[in-house]
Amino acid sequence: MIKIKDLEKIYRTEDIETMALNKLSMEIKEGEFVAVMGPSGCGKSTLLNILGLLDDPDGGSFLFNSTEVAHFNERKRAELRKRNIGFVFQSFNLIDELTVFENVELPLIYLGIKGGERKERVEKVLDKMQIMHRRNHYPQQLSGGQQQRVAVARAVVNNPKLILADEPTGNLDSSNGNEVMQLLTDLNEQGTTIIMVTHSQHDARYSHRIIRMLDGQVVTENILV
Amino acid sequence: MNTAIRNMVRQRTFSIINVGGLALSLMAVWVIALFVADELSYDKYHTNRNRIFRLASHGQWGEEKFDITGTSGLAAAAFKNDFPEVEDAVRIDVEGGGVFTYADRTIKENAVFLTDPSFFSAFTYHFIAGTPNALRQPNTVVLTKTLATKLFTNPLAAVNKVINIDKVPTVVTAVIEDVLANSHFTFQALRPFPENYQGDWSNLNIYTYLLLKKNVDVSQMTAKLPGFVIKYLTKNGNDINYKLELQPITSIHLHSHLAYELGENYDIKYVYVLSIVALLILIIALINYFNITTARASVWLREVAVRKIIGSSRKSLVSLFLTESLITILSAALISVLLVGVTMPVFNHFIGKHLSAWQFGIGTTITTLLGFSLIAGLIGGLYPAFFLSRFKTIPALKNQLGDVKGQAVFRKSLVMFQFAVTVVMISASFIIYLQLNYVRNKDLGVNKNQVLTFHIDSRSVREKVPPLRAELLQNPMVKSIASAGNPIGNNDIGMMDYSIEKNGVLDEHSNLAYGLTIDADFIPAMQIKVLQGRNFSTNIASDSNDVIVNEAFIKRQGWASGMGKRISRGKDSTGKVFFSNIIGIVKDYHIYSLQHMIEPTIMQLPKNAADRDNIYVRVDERNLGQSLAFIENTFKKFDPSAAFAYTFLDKNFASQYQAEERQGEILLAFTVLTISIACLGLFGLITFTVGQRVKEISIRKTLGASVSSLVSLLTGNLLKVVLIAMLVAIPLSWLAMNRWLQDFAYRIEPKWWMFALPGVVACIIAIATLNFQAIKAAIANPVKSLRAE
Repeated sequence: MIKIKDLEKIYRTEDIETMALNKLSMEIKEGEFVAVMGPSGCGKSTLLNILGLLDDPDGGSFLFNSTEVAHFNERKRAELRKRNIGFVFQSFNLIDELTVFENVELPLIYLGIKGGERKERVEKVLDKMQIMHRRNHYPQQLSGGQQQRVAVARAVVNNPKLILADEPTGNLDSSNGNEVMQLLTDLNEQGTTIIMVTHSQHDARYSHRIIRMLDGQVVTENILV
Repeated sequence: MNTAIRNMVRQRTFSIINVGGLALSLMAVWVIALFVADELSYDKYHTNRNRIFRLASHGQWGEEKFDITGTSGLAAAAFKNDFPEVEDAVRIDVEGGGVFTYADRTIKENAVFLTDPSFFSAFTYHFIAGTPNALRQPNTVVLTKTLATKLFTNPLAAVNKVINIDKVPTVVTAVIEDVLANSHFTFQALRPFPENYQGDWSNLNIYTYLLLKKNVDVSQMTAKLPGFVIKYLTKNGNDINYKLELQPITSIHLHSHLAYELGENYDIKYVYVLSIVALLILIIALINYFNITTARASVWLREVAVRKIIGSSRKSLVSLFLTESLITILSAALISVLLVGVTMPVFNHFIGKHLSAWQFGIGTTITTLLGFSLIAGLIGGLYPAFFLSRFKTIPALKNQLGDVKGQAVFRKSLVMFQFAVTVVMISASFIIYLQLNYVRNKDLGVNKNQVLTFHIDSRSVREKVPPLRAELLQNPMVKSIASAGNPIGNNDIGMMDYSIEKNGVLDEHSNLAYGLTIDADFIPAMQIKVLQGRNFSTNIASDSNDVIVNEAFIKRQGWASGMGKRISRGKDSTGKVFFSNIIGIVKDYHIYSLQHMIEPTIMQLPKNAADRDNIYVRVDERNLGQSLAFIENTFKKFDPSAAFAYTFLDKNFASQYQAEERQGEILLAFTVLTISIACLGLFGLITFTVGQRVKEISIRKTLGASVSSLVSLLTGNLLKVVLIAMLVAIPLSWLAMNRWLQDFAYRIEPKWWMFALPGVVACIIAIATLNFQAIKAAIANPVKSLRAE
């Protein structure tokens, strides 16, 4: 599904140039659940942003479903992203002014899906995530675990082929964390490819493969299954 | 202080908007205050200003009426005689102009008054040379410094010199400083009335000023005026219902709009309008300041909370905000000094004045500016100060702002007010532009283009108009020539009484019409259309007694056609009624500018050569320079001593709209300023909105939002506010501009689009302002703000 080769990303400030990704190569197959680990600053989040088409690489190749997307313009990237990729962030990134229902509905609005179908799909996914009873609440009225479940619901409502999760349990207690990990595992079992950046050894064990990074490069790969 | 300055530097966009907007508004208030103060200062320099009154005449009979500044030349003496309240009375006749010559210098000067020696007892003028007794002898003249300098180079050398005025030797008895610009009349020279001058009670062509004794009750004196009218005017003026009015000299410039005013008066309502504009501009800038400061509260909230936690008292927080507020307004005041310095010449050009930025005195101006800064700084700083320091610490730490929606609604209401004002001002400027465009291009019924006109001062030269005409027409560059007894387009034509013949009997009821003396060439030369009958002919002897009238005349009488009718213009010396046949009817044409209705007009051939003093020459537009030179040279052959002073007819008409044009230009300048300040505020608010919603924008972008959907999300609310403002403003503009248009007898018909278009313009400007920031935010990389969490 994803094939990257010699990927580079450099961050420049006035005096310093930081190589966030240094000729990084990897391949992720459809249906895989991959955990990316490594110390802070090793390039995990940068990698996730590029895989999520939120950021441009400075060099190398990035094939998504056999299509070179490294140099896609903003419009093409947005189109590919909204149809294929779902995001789950450590800080949930829900919109405070919108209700649970409206937050989850958002990706469907941007896909141009009509109101009736949107309602049906949002209710279905909220039901599945067991937060239907909170549909009219605002994010600040929910617990962290509930907020993350809403974030996962939002990530999967448009049936993406790929979910990118950036430390999805980082802001949760262990009980809520386990619930979210179970949700991701269930989604993976239903065929969704998942790439998860994590610091947690415990969470990583839910995946099929652990990729460890250091200084913008892959240093080891462990297959767990 | 340091913290306040640091805050301002850190939030520099907002600081620039605040300081810039306030500085611009202070500049506007300053220059408008100068203008208003100048307008209010007219004639206040006279020491006796509270005791000088001008007599104005009003008359009515049937449906006819007049309201004029003129009075009988006998009124001054009669007032002095009959009213113990009158200390002195002054007559002024504006017909004292002529050709001034001294040695080899010749100057044609029309701004010359004939007046009484009491002129200097009533009015205050500074004498450079000579004494206030200067006008006591016949054939004397008092010159202004400017005219004396033109004639003598050294004005002090003028006194006791003999100059010629229209070839009559006259002694210069005094030189005075030029008449101040803030006077309702101005002149370059004063001459005494001729000794043989005799006025009569029916001829109201003299301006009369009364100097009342100290402590006279004007209302009591006014109550006695009807008695005076009965004693002198009604007795002589048959069925006319006369009224006299005492106009305080200091109110003439702004409150008097009668016929035959001595100068171009202004209107108090425009002084009010400009004062309101100044106030609105200031309010708009203060709203910006208020909106931006309270909006920034959320950005500051955490800092305020942290300061509270580490022990900062409410008092010190309030003083922090007040300091910042004062620094902002003082900086704005300082910048406004520079702005006024730079823009003053431009503003002076717009208003046609020579005002100085320091007109009120440097000390007064600086004190006022500092006082204003202090008050505005306190008011502007107190609300945000209490608004911010009032928050509870813990919710503030979490950036919870309390009634955020309520604050936002209040802010939006203020923005709505700003844009409603903006739309009204754009509408007003636009309507003024359309109306002035209309009056400039309206078909006047005469072809005013390429017609130059000049006055023949010398009575002997007026006798030679036919040969002058013949010689001028020899040149193919001269298309046609005509003469008339009046200049048209200058809004100064005399009225005449007439009665009509009904069933062979003369109607006792008299009417008023403009009386214009024209020669037989006037109608064809001015391209006036003859509807019925014919033009005057020099070959038909009876034409010298007959008249041509305009359509308005026929309409006033309610006739289907006037042909064959007779009118009377009075009796001859034997008491025999003097009848004239109407031999032609011309299409209505304008002899006054378009503020005035076309009135019934009677045209007659000149009775004598003196009535051919205004010459109209239509020239070839291709060789204007050559044509002018030829006309001047030819004229000089007939009158070598006279200065050739000409004007173009279209310019004469155009100059009647100067006041309106000036209003339009001033309003346009302040409209641009208002839009700029309102847009600065809008820019500040959208910058703030974008800053607040950076994370949301990033999330939405991640979820697939397009740039256009993000821009409409960010700008939608503020745009709605601008649209509501437009809906509020349109009826207000409609009302205001309909009233303004009433001043014109001929005006554009207000249409809905004339008010909608300014609204659309305001919306486009608002959209451009909003989108500048919104697009920037929408195309930014979302990763940074998502990672910032």
